[in-house]
Amino acid sequence: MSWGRLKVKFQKNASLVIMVGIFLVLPFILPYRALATEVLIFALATVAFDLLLGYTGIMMFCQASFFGSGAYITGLLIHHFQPNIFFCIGTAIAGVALLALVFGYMGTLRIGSYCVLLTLAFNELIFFIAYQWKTLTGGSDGLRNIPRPSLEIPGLFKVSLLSETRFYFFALFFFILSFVLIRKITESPFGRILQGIRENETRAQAIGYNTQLFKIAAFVIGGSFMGLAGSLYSMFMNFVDINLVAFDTSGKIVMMELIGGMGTLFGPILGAAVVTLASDIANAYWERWFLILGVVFVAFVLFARGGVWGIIENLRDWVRVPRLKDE
Amino acid sequence: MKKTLYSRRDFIKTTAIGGLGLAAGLGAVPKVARGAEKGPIAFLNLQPFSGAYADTGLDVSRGVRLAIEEFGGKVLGREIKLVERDATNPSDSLRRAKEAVEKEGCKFIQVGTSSAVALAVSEYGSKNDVIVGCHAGADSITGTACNKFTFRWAVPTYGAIREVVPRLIKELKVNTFYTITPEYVFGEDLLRNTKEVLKEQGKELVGNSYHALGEAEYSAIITKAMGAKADCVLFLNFGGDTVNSVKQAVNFGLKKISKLCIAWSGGQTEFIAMGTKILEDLWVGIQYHHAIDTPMNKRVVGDYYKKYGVMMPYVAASGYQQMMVMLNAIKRAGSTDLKKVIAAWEDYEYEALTGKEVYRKCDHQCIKPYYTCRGKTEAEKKAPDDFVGIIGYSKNFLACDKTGCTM
Amino acid sequence: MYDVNILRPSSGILRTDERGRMTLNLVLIQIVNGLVLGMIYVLLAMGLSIVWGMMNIINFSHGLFFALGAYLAYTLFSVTGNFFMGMIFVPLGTAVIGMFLELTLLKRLYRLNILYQILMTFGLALIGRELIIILYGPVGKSFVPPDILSGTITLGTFFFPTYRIFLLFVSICITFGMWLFIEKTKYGSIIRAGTEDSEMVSALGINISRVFTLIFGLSMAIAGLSGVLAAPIRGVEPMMGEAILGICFAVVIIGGMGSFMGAIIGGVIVGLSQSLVTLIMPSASIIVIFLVMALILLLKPRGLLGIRD
Repeated sequence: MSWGRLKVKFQKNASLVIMVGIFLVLPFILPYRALATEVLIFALATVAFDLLLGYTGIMMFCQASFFGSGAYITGLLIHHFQPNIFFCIGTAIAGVALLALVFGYMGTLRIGSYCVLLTLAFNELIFFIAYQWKTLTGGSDGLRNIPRPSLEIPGLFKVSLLSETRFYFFALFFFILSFVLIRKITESPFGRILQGIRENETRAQAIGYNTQLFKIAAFVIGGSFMGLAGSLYSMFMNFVDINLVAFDTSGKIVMMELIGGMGTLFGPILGAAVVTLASDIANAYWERWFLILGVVFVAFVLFARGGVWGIIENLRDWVRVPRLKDE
Repeated sequence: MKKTLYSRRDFIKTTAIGGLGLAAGLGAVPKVARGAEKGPIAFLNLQPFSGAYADTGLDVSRGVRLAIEEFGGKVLGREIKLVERDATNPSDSLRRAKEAVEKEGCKFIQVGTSSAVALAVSEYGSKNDVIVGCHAGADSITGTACNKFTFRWAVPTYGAIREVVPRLIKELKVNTFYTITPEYVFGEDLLRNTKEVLKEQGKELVGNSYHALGEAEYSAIITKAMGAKADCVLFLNFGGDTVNSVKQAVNFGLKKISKLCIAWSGGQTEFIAMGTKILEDLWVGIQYHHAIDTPMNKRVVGDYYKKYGVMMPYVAASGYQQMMVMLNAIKRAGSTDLKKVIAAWEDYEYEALTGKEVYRKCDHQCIKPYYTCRGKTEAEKKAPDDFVGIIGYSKNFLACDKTGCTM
Repeated sequence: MYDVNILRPSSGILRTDERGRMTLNLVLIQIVNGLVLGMIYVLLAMGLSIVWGMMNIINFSHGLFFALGAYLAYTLFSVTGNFFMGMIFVPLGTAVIGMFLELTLLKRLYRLNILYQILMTFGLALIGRELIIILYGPVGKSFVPPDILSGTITLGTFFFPTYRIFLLFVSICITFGMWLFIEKTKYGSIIRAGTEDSEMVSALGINISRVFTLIFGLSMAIAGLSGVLAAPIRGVEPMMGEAILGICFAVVIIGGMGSFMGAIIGGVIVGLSQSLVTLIMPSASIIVIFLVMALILLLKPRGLLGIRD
């Protein structure tokens, strides 16, 4: 491989490399490690949501159902049985995929804004079930006694994940894997069809695609990764908070997505970082910092719909353009 | 040409990056700031500073600060560093606890009035060597979910009901009860205890109405309660729900049919929200009242009034008292070694706002009285915030072997 | 010493030895309660439906204006001691605020995907809620009905708070007034036409942009008014807007978006359902509404009387 080709490959993947680099040192530059894990897990959930909103154009409010259900499934498995960690994660993903299939099917029966409201109703339903079924979920008190499992492949090795740093890198492994997978999907023909549906669903149908099937697939894929994020979160907190399935969590992910930049995959990561860090730091100074977040959000809707990532890309182009002229 | 979605090369690449990162991280030695034996001692105060219970959080904080001030701002010759963080939901609270432990080497936490938050942080404390002082009322905190690191000042639902209900029966000669219960673990605890006490006393529960937590509309329940025509209607809810339900009940005219009683009152915040007219002749069960007749209480209430211009509310007293006990336990232990502090804290009787108190060893529950009060008429009030007067009090706690606590 | 047996003179019916009749009375009272609750929902749904139907905006800040109405009424009442003034001035206030927001913020987004309008109203709801908490505090405030309307009146064999009867009466009047406006006036016909096809209305030469602003203002006026009316029953607290928003959506969907009669039918059904389900299982009263909403979306997305999806 020549230097030229390597250089091109680097430039194409520059963002990815930089992102990985930042994440590798994040726990050491933020005020405390748990904050880095929080950013990481919500970044994963928002990137998954980006596949649905940013790439397929599906607006929904049941993100919390997927995220929270992933957390509950893993939490319950550990609480009762303490099986292998990969089994816990795998089952959560499978369970949430099934849920996403059901919600996706019903949500995509018709075109239009009714998916937004239907998913809102579904989310309320999941919250209600979690709240009422106290013997299973602990209700509003949440699910406790979830000791963190060890990273273990039976017969090969067993590593404790009790330290915050270790768990962070464990979660980072899944994040990078998921991110690259999702990016591959968006760059594939399947991904292009999703974007076509976002642009004009009727036209995509006219061409001959069964758009409903594609949208359901988007639901399942996006939902599964949100479930993965939730699964990691339950092990991170050793606790499942009922608010994880509440509407507020869905809203939080929507804000991260918009502030970060829809349809860019990197944007949501920035959005998750911005919202999480801002809330953590601002909270110590002013309880009503949420007001500022709301104002920022509205400002972005008005003037910066490409999100923070969009601003960065504009800056990058602005810096690049003079050089192009010389070539 | 068949292009696979994810080629083998890509997979190897990704796993390599991820694996490298994982190995780097697993090998990394976590740099945790350990509280040096000389520097300040950090105390984390996790209270709701935003959301519906923000006033509660502020009051607890005031109580805690007053205790620190009285203690002299130092313990064991080291400065007391108070870190206060907003704790409206368990996830954020846990993260804040992790932050305090990592950044400040914090080993002492006071956690607020939400049962979910208290239970979550209490468990965290037991797994991560942090002493947690709880201000919530759920029975399980010193019951089935108890642990060596958690202490709790407030009287749980068992003791609250066993003071209030027999008191009502004795003073008002009531025989039939109707209960209004929030559909919530805590509400269920209050109801269960009520049923037990009524059975013991040979009185009748003629009916119960559940309502959703945060309910704003009580007309159905009130109508049912009026139809039941019980001697006494017992409100087993708290906070905003109590304010709403009691106000609507009085507007419907329920006071003219039954005696009204709030079993678990949040104190001043609720009284101010309800107002004198509603509170008149209403019976209220409460953890603490500023008119408690002990020398220490008189002094502290006076100090609080000088500093903040209001009578000390129950949650502030809770913050003050438990912080005082925590600081004194550290002082008596002579070190911040948690085993020693716990040993010094347990089974030590001390002079408190309510008289003599002790945190018993078997479940780390504070043995203190619960109070029944009656709402004063406008004429009876001695000051604008003097809403209720104490009628009686008693200490009621489950025997150690009956709490379900195993430590 | 404490006499627990003082009864109101005319309340002899609530005797425990007539359990059957008592249960019937209870159900009847709940039906009336349900109608009262329903009428508040009707008012809210009318506003939401008009904006949704004509401007294609799913207004996530509708609940906020309900809360604003309640809080403004509280302030006005605290300052002037007059509740009825609130009924007139508060809707004007919320209308002005609504129109201002529409002109400065929402208008810019019309040419874009409706997603952004949803996000904008969502963000506004958040900001509004925080502002309320900053101005009024996070704890709810008490709001009792004005003295003339406090107390209870006896209807036949049971007594009922005067204020709720008043509310029922007033909201029916307003609904009727709205019906007259929409069915019988020129402006009303513009609304009806715009709900079916706003492009066509614009093509007919009517300044659709100005109509949109006025419609939005009208919608917020009704929302504010329902807040004023509901405050004495529910009190005022910062989350009241969010709490009622989901139900508003459900009412519009069940009744049928864009349909006036749909808003009435939907509101009454939801109000009755909430009241009656509360008798059986209180915590289920809200989720039942969402279940019905989901069912309607799946089976009959136009709603019971809707004219378009």
